[in-house]
Amino acid sequence: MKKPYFLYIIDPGGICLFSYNFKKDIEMFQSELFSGFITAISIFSSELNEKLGFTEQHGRLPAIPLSLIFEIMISYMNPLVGVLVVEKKDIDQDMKDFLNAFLTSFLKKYEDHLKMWDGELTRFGSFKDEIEKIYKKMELYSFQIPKMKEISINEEVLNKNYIALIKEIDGKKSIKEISEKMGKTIDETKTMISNILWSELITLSEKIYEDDVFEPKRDLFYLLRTKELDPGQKLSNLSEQVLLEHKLLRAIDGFKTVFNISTEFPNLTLYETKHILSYYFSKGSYFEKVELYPQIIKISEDFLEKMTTEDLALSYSLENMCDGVSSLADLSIKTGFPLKDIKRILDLLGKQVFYKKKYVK
Amino acid sequence: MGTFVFKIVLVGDFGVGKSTSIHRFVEDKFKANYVPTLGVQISKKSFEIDEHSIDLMIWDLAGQDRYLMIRQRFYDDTQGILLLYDITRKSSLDHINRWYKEVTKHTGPIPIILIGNKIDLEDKREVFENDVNEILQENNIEVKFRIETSAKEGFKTEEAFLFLVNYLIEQYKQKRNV
Repeated sequence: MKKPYFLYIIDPGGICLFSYNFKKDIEMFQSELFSGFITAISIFSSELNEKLGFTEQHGRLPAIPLSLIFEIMISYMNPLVGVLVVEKKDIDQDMKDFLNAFLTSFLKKYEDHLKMWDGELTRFGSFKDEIEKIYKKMELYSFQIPKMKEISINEEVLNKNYIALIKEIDGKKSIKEISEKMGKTIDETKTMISNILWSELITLSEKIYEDDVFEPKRDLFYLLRTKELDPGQKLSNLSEQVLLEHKLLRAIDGFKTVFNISTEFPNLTLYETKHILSYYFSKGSYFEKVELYPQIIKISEDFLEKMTTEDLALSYSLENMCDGVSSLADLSIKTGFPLKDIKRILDLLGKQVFYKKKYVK
Repeated sequence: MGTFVFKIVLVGDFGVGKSTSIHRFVEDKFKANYVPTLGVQISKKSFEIDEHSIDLMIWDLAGQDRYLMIRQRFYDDTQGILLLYDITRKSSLDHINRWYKEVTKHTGPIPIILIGNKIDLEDKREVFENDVNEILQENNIEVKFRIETSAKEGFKTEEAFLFLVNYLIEQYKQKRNV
């Protein structure tokens, strides 16, 4: 999940009850001034709508653009106002959920205090501890696969819900699949997973972003099969699992990516498909990779204008360097940027990037 | 013994050899064909000096005027500058005052190394030592080190980069002692 900059929780009178800086290297806006400003603008907005006969719902100010890059996101949860300062490109449902999760948690924790609040702000300081927990939970994805660590667990100290959860964690099922098995919502399961993650009882599979074109929807390689699969072997003699694996390998034809292949096997998750193919790849000689090398002719100026400075610098660097000859790994080494950032920018640039196929042994 | 990450920036008129100097320093190679840099190109070189591990982030800023606005966004957190001119093009020396002002406006006082590149083209030289002295004095430009290089032949290019890196390490040590 993308990281917001600052969080403010403001009471109806415009007093900032709590603020948190997610970017420790940047100084926050002064809480009192900022919360006063947000409250004043919200009131103007509500008044104008009231005069024009719109409902209170319409009168609520949802966001304030700060510049081409930043935006103030606002959410209302009676009686509080939650504000996140974020980069515009990072605004998505996750970020909205994040802000709402904060407000919900804050209200739940301080409900009694808020009813008879005496102006003492220090009591809200303990909310800082909640933040990392909420953030950790928001970082979980339903398609991630939890796996138990090899440590003994004393079941007597766990409540029965967690014992049931631990029994479902087999290193194969995703969070979504575990939710379905347990008859719980994904959000409930995520909360529990997040708690046991906090206790360091489990590990999680790497994130495979569903909207990431490279992992694995459009990997930077195509697969080319190079070995016949035991032609003499009778298929009827194979176990169900091996048969499935063979079918998967037969689907490799030099034109499909892992994602393309995965779509032909609805009973397998993307992760499982990738896992099986990785296994055979590691055994060697079953198939080869045809890697793709990015090439950028020209990035549109309009596109660059909207970028943050860091993304802009990397985009220009890639525009200078993506010649269809350098691999992603080369680009990462030369620029000093991690692979994931390079993929992200190439993903952002979309059709402005061409890919050259190159056979790699 | 320590690990340092430095951000340094190369500036100067287009075609003075900024990218070529970086290419020489990072890969010890020479690029014969001139391809103007678009916006900025970041390169990284990791190496060791006196048991210090250095990650040098080298920002090559496009020299064309049309990138003026964009360049200004890239100066944040810069720790050192390599300011280049071409010894065969007097105008590139005349413009160093403009570059000096642009850089220091955003970075404040940071170490600047002045590089006169292309000394392999001695027969076409237009810039002499007096010209450099004059322009530095007239414009009150303070540089920590002056050097003439040939990125094409690999002559003293590395020396220029390493002088800046060593200076930054010393500067860091002094600050820490204070």
